Amino acid sequence: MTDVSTDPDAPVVLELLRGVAGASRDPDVVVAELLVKLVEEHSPVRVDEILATLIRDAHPD
Amino acid sequence: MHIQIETSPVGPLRVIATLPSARVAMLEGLNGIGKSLAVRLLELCVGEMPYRTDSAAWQSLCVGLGEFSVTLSALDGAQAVHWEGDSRDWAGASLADGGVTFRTMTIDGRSASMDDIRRLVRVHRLSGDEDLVETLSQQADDAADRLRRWFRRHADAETGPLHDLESRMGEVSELLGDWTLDRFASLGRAVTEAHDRLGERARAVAQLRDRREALFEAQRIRRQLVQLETDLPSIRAELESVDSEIAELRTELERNQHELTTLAGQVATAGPVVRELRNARRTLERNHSNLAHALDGLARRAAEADVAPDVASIEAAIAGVQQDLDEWLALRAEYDQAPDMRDLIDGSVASLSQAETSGLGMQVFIEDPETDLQLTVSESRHGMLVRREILEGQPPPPEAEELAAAIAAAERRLALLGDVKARAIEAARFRRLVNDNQDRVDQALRAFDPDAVDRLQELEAQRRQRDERVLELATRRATLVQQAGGVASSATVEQTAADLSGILELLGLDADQVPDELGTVDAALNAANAAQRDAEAHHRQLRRDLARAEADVRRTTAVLSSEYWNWLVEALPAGAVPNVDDQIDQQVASLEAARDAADRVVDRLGDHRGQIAAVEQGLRGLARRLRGHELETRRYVDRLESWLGDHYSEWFNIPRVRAELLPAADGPIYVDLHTAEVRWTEDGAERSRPLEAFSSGEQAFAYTRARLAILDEEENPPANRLVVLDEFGAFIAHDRLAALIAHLQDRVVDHPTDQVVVILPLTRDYASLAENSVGPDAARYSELERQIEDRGYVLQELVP
Repeated sequence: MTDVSTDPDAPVVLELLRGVAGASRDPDVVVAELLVKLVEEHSPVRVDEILATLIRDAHPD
Repeated sequence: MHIQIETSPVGPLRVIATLPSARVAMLEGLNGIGKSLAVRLLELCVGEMPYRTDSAAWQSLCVGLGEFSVTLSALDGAQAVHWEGDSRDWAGASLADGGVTFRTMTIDGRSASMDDIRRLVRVHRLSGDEDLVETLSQQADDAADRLRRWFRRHADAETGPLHDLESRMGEVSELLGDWTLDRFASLGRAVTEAHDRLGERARAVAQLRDRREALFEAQRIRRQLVQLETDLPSIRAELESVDSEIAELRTELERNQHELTTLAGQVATAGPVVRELRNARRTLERNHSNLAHALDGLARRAAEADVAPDVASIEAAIAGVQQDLDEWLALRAEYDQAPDMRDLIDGSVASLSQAETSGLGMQVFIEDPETDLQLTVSESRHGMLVRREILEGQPPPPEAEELAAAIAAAERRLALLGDVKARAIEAARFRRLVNDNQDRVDQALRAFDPDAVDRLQELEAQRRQRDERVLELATRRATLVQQAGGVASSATVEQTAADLSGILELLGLDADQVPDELGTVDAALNAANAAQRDAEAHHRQLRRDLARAEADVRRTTAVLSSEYWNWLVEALPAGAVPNVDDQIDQQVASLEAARDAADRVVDRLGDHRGQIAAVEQGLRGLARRLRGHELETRRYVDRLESWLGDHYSEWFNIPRVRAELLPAADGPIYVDLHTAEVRWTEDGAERSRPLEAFSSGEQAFAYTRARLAILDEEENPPANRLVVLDEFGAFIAHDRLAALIAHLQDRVVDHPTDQVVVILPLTRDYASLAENSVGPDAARYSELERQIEDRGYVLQELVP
């Protein structure tokens, strides 16, 4: 898995995606938000953690 | 700050070798001498990216510039910064992976990073042909460029984070399979329906077989009746003849016996001789009776078996039947291997059960790398049990059933022939005893008076001949009785006719119709057998499909319980996690729920790629619309308008920008991208102005001042800064150049470390000016004329 924490475009892109997402937590940008969060935390992206989050997000309980 | 640029372009590019070191200077030059290219190269050297990487200008630079070196000297904080590089290194390289690279970057001779250099020096280029609308458009394009680079790095279909997420979800989807409760139930119903249909086909076959048997029986009874009606009179006549002859022979035998007894008494010389003859004859008579009884039984059974009543014939018949039986048994094994397979499975299951008890249940037992099939010991045992159940419920094929009937008939015939053979052997034994007894009688007779012996022997020979004849007739009689079926009477003929009438009534036929009907039923039976075979194959296939489905589901449930999938099990809702103890339907329902959740994740991951692309398209569309073209997209446009509007509004609300562009505005300034307007309040009144209005006249000059002012907001300003105002020819056309120069000269006081260069196209004829001037002006114009001739541009220091 690529570590995206050193991405030079990350700050602008993250601001943009977050701006597009707005406060509505639009499902369209949930994946991007998740990547954003991991970038901000400067932690290597862990596939299982992301997918587990998405799976939990896919069911109401 | 002195600037030296050395290049040796490999393509049709030119770059001027230096820029002025004055705090404010003006550079006028001919077109195509590389003024702007020099500034852009300096921007690249300090980590800026003045090109769009998909632009022709960038591609031309990469290919055409080649090796170069740039040196900045006399800086605040350092003596010299030096770069060496080759633009061809940049062709095709991903700028996201560290930006433009140089072969050498040094500060005072020591290797330096771009961050080190940017702390020391920066370069800003303000383009005079970029008005407010174009600047805003470029910002939207720049954001789109960044998004595209992000897309390529993180959302590529072949590599990167999103690809890794999708690959992992691919594993999940493959594991969870595609069984739904509906499909599973549907398969179960299909198995039941196929079973019912098979039952219907089997019943149809059974009915046709029953009818065929009835037809055969009708034919048999009819033949018997014909035989009774045609052959019975002759059999009866022969029987009467045989019975009459036997009666006569017995009368003669009695007379013969009486004469023998009388004569023996008259000629006897001693009591012992008479007793021996009497005893020998008594024994002979007993064995003769036994022989007669044995021959009677043999004749009846031999007639029933349709075989000659001698041992050789019987053994030949047995050998023939046994040969047929062996062939049929071998053929049956080919048609129906279910019994052998059941035995094999029983033995294997027992071994696997023992292995499970020993804790080997989860060990891989079967592995096929070609089909990627892996089965554990437990799965293999379960699969074998399912297979056994299928074999148990699987009817033997019709060919095997017919063979079974033939085999049973052959076995019955073998038993009959065995009985006939035993009787023949028994009869032969009595025959030998009778012969021995005859010899004993002859021996006893030789003890009598020789004169009487001849007569006694004659009488004995007659008796023996008549006995033989009686035996022969008795055997023939037994055969005749058997041929008549033991029912050779007029009452039996009537009964047989009644039997035939009854079975024909059941069949709904006349006797003459039986042969044709038999042909019809045979054809129907063939078709019904074929239909039954098809139904069996269909049922077997569905059973197999169901068994595989169950095995798939159980295997998935078992695999999910491994540590490798803990993260998935923990993320799924309780109802989507199957348990090995659940009923199979429940396991399918759980897996279906799990797959629904996984599918939603897969969809969202896939959508993300399209969404990033759509956001990029939205940004480019808004940039196009700001430039007066069609938007050409709709998705996300509203939200992007809002986001970009907020972003632009922040810029307008920077105090120095407000002061230049809207000095009378009260409160916040808003940019509405949908209407392409700037809105504000002034003395309590709402005001608005189209964005494009900031691109002409005094507003354009104010915008330039605003951009210069923005530079002063730069965080962590460097010790050295080069500001280049390029493409400002329009200012000359509108007579605002003097005002711009004055503004630049005025700001020197507040920005002593800035080095400002205004680049202009050459518009004045300095040769003509020199000729038409006098004194110092003439000398200055002459010097400028010389510079134009020497290097194609002139430099004028406005503030040293």
